[in-house]
Amino acid sequence: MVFIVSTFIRIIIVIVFIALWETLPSIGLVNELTAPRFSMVLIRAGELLNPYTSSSIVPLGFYTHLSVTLFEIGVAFLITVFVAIPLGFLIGGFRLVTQIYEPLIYLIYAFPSVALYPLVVIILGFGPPSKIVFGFFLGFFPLILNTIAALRSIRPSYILVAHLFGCRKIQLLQKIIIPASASFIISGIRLALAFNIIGVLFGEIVASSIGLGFVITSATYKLDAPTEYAAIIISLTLIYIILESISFVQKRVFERED
Amino acid sequence: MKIDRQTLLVRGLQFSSVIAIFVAAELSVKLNLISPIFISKPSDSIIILLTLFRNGAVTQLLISTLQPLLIAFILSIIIGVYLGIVISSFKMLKQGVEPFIAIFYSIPKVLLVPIFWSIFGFSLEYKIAYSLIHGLPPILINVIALVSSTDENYLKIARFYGASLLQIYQKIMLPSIIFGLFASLRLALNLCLVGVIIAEMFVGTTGIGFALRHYASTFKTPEFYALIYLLVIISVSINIILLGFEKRIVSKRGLQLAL
Repeated sequence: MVFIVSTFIRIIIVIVFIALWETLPSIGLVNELTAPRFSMVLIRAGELLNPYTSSSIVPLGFYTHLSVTLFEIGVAFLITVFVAIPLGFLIGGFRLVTQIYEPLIYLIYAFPSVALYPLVVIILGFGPPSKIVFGFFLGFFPLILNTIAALRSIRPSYILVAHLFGCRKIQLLQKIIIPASASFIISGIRLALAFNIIGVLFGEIVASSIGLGFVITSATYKLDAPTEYAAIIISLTLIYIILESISFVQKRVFERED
Repeated sequence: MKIDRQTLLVRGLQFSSVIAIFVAAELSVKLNLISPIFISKPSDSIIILLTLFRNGAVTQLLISTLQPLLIAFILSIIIGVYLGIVISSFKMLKQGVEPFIAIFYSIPKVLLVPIFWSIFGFSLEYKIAYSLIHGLPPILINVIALVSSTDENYLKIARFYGASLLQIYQKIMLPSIIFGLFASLRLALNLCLVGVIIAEMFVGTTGIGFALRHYASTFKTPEFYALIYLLVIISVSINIILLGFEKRIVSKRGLQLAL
């Protein structure tokens, strides 16, 4: 009963939101130049996604920009995973090193790193490398902190038992440390991917010549609001699907273990 | 206060590794290992920061960045607490709205900055509104979780003695969430700061975010780093102050529970 009513409320919220979006610009409460009607945005989104019409709205076509952004996110994500996890193991493996560097990494993590982006552009230029590096930079800290926390969460008694039964170093890593820390590390990986995406998109929005962020910003500067909103909605949906699928896999894998 | 040798060692090593980074930056520029466009000498940047403080240019920067930050932060506390209480008082509404809040919290809000700019234009409201959407979701989520975990017995007793809805909110709900609220305040303030910096960096002519973009695009690297140091000071002091508050309130609460 509760489930049905709450689903009903959810549907009503979506309908009211779309209805307001459709009516407010048409009766003139909101300027249509900056907030176009929902139907216009939807039609433009369809045109953007259609490979035959998209190149007339955006230079090079929408799919080129989309694939560039996905490529940047993917590379940034791979670099983050392959750098942050080993480094996290290296720091988290020694208690003194953890005590020294964990608070410092926390402070850097709390710092609004977006402020450093202009410097990255100066060093690496306008193209994809600056976005990849910046995406990596934002994703690196949450993942390394999660890896350190994961190593700390392993119960010392596990390691003690392993030592007692004459476990070798590699066996210890394989049988105890990796399985015991996997859950933490995977949630760190999801967080890192979210930050990678923020870094790449922020880079594209502030300064770029290709990518989803470029489509959005150039449409904004041309006062082409329907394209701007359509591109934003498509990107948000895509990112939401990517992040949710990781959470889904995470839940599946760890529920089965239990 | 007694400090044992272990903490002393840790603090010393922390301090010296920070110093080592500064020294490495200073030397690598001095010995022409790295172009001075990429990294400035820390000594130059610190002198620039001090002159900014001395000639008062820093007040302008701080006002134009901290004013929207604080307004957005306070607004997100007020809206977050009251909206959170209202949402969580109705079970159906709560279950209906919760997924939307979670979705909004998880999407990258960087993508929304052009919308805010085109609606609000170059104004204080633009920075405040964009910063608000960063700070509001964590507080809202926290308040909803806290209200749901309010002790049922308190509410039963209040209803039994005929307390009005307003009294229940004021006397039971607010005090019971106020302690837990502090956990999300630090996160919210950090996110608000990110929001203001993004807003300033995207468009605008005022604030630290704009100044950073301006100095970077005119290759004034020492000035750029001076502002980064200023931002570090702001961010670190925010975190230290709020962490202190959290610790003090937690210890006070522990005392109350013990009594």
